[in-house]
Amino acid sequence: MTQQTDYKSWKKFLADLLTDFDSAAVVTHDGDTLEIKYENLADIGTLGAAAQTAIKYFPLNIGDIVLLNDPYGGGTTLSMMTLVAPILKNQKNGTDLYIVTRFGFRPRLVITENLNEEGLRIPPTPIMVAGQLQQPILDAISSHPDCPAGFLDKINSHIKAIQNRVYAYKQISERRPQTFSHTSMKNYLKESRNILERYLGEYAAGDYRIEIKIDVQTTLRLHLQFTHDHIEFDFSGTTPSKQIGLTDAAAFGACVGAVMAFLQKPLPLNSGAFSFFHVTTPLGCFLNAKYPTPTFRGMNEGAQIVATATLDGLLKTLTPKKMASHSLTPAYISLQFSNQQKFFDALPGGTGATSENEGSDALFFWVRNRLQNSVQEIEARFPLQILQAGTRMNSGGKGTFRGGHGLTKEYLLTEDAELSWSLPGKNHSASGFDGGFAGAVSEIIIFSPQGKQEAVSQTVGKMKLTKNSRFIVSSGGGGGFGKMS
Amino acid sequence: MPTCLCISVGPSFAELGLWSEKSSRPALSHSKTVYLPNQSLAAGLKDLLESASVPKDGQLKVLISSHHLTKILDSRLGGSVAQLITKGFETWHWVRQKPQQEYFDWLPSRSSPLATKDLIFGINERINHAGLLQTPVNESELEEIANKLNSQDIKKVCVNFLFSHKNDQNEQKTVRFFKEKGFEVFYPEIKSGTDEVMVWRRNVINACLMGSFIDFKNTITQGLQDWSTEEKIQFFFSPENIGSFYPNSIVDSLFAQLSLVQKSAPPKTLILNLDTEIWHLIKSNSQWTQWQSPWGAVQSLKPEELKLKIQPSSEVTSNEFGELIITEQELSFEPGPMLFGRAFRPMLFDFLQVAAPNADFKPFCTEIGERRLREHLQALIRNSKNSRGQTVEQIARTMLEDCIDQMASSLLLHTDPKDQIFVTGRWASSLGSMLKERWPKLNLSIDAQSRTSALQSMESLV
Repeated sequence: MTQQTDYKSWKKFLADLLTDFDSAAVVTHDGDTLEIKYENLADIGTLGAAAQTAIKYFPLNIGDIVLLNDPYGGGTTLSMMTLVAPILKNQKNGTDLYIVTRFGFRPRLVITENLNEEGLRIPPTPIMVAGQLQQPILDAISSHPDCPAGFLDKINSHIKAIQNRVYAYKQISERRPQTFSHTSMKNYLKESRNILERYLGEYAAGDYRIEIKIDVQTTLRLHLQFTHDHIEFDFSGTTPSKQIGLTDAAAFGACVGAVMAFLQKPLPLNSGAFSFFHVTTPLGCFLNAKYPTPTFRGMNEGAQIVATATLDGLLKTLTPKKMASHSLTPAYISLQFSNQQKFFDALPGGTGATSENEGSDALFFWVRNRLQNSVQEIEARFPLQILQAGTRMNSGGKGTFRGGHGLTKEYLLTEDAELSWSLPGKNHSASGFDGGFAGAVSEIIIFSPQGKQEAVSQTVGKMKLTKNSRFIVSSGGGGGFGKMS
Repeated sequence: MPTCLCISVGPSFAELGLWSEKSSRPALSHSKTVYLPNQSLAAGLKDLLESASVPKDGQLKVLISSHHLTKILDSRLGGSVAQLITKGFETWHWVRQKPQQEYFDWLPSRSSPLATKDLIFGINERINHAGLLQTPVNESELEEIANKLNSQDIKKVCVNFLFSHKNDQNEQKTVRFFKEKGFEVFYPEIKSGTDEVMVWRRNVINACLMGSFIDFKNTITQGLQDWSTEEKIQFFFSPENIGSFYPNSIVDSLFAQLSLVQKSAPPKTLILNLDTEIWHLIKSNSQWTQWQSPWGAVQSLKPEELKLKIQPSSEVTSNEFGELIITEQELSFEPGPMLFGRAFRPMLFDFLQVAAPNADFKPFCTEIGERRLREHLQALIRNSKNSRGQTVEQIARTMLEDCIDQMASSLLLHTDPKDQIFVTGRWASSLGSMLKERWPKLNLSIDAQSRTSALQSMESLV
């Protein structure tokens, strides 16, 4: 008699393994992803890719850990570190399992055409071998001028958490070997696909095309086709970019994220469900970029634009539910002070209104766990003062239901600094629906110490500012729904 | 003769204990569990004191620990609380409130604000990060706001200014002004913590909970008027705050029970607290400075703890694979377990009581409740992939084993193999013993005398 697959135990087993991590995955030696916990769109596709790269180059055993942040080796941006480690190996009837965890440091926006200028790039590197920490390697990384502050502390705390899981999961799998057999794992993946099919089976087949001009040189083209046994995302015709780069794994994550948002359900995030998605990204286009294209803007703005376009397509094609557009992506700024201190901020925009609800104000739509930094903490650390921070009044598009407002912050510099910015929403207002008005576009206004006022004209750029300069950064509002009465 | 009454109140159960002076140390002479949806706290107190023949001489000393206010955190708090915030930052706490959904959703939203956004007033004032006064408060501006609040009959005011922990000149001037005008004024009493929003949230929650706290205090004072006096009634907010009433510490009362359990446990252990309504893993010597509330982080000194994902109130239902499971969705103890006869959805408590009956809860179980549970389960079993053909008792046994294994997973994930784990609380003797038997590698010691850990841990205060 065949053993019945205990799906609930698999689900619990995998969820517990990832508990306490913000971003992590469980993968098998054969390349199957079993579970993902994500913070952003790129995580969904890249955590599994990171494990595959590490396993390919290193025959990992219990007690080994590999570190990487190279976007072209399964990472995302250079401020995000990824660790890969085996968690269960050589189990009777079982499969070898690996854990991938990811944690971040304060990012920085560098306007560049070369990845190496965005920070320190770390290819897959063994930092623990047979339980022994490779301290000289870690010391070499942490002494690099581009290595983020607090690197060693965070690495050590993650290593400890991984070691704890190795111990815990040895006990758990020994106790129930049949439950976690290779066969039951395959059944779990198959059933996960069936669940997604059931969810999507409620919708009629459809087809949607969209083209978005991201900047003068970069265009996104998507042909979305939905049938009952797969969803095809064809990005043929999308152009390359020298400044915005995603990997194909990150673009895949953006497509999955959009479907998840569309279904409003926590989907099974594993290879079983992923087999429903067919994503085509021509090599060299900005969604399947090549080294040394920088990735900060791609993994953030690029992935969000792909997901927003895809979600828009799904909503327009598959359901009678309608909504106005969201503000395209957050507004990003960075300040570099003369003492090498680097400040970074991201201001989320408003979401679109629907036929029943106003949009939400200043909300990170495609990022979980991102909270706005404390004003008091920022002022204590950086030579600047924040004069105002809050919702940008009247920026949500008017309508029967108002779009969500953007966020506005006013900064006063107490030292000279160079300001860099990226405002993809500057030339792209969130459109209203059914007579509702568009949301306000994002903007930056700079006031010199002498009182001269200047609005930045480019979507991406940098500028030197002197002490006592002020600037106001405002993210865009969401579109309104329905005519105003 | 009993000289001290200890009252431990949770969202749905209250534990009452009477201590008598016997030789050198006090001993528990009478105790009672009150299921609050069935019996009021005042009636329960009267029953206990009369059955123990406690003299009505106003001499009874009373100690109260309560986290019953957690119940009202599920809904929007407050109502008419005004907030005075440094101008330019009036909506700052709101945009820092996280989305409710843990996964991507095309209709994301935040939980409701702590208090109405219509009563937020920006004040022209500023202290910088070094504590330097840059813009002093202007009394005429305060006067104008006071008039507006009076016209709307608003009585509670929170003062939330930036960098008041560095220099409270503006804050205290504003506090004095509004106190003199007869308002109840709340301000951050703890002058530490750098994240302004965590401090502001604490302030607003204190203001919002104050009305309910005073109602609760009055209920107890009136219920005990023949046996005790207001001066003899003491509340436990935290180990540092035991007394009659601290308006700026109401938030801490939410963790009073945790603090008591932590305080009374053996040193250098982890505490698996399996109390009646809630299960925690608590570190014996470690404190956190913030509480992750439904609105985001709140400044509060509380024991370092992990609320287990599995709880006695966890709902039991089918998952997307068609299996009967213990979910992470918690049901309320009002209407409570199906066995108590009022609820229509089964919770883990019901299965534990079927598989490993706890005599303490037997008086609350009803025949109608048991019948309803069996009927409901038969319907669930018919549609379930993994439980078809099983009896209620078999399923209850499986749920009990699942519960033990899930607890063990949590312990393995959050403890070190060398850690000594002290199991206490109402469920300690039954579940703790099973845990020890099924997972021998866990280093467990079980509190054999365990009644309810909160009441027991109050012994040190008697």
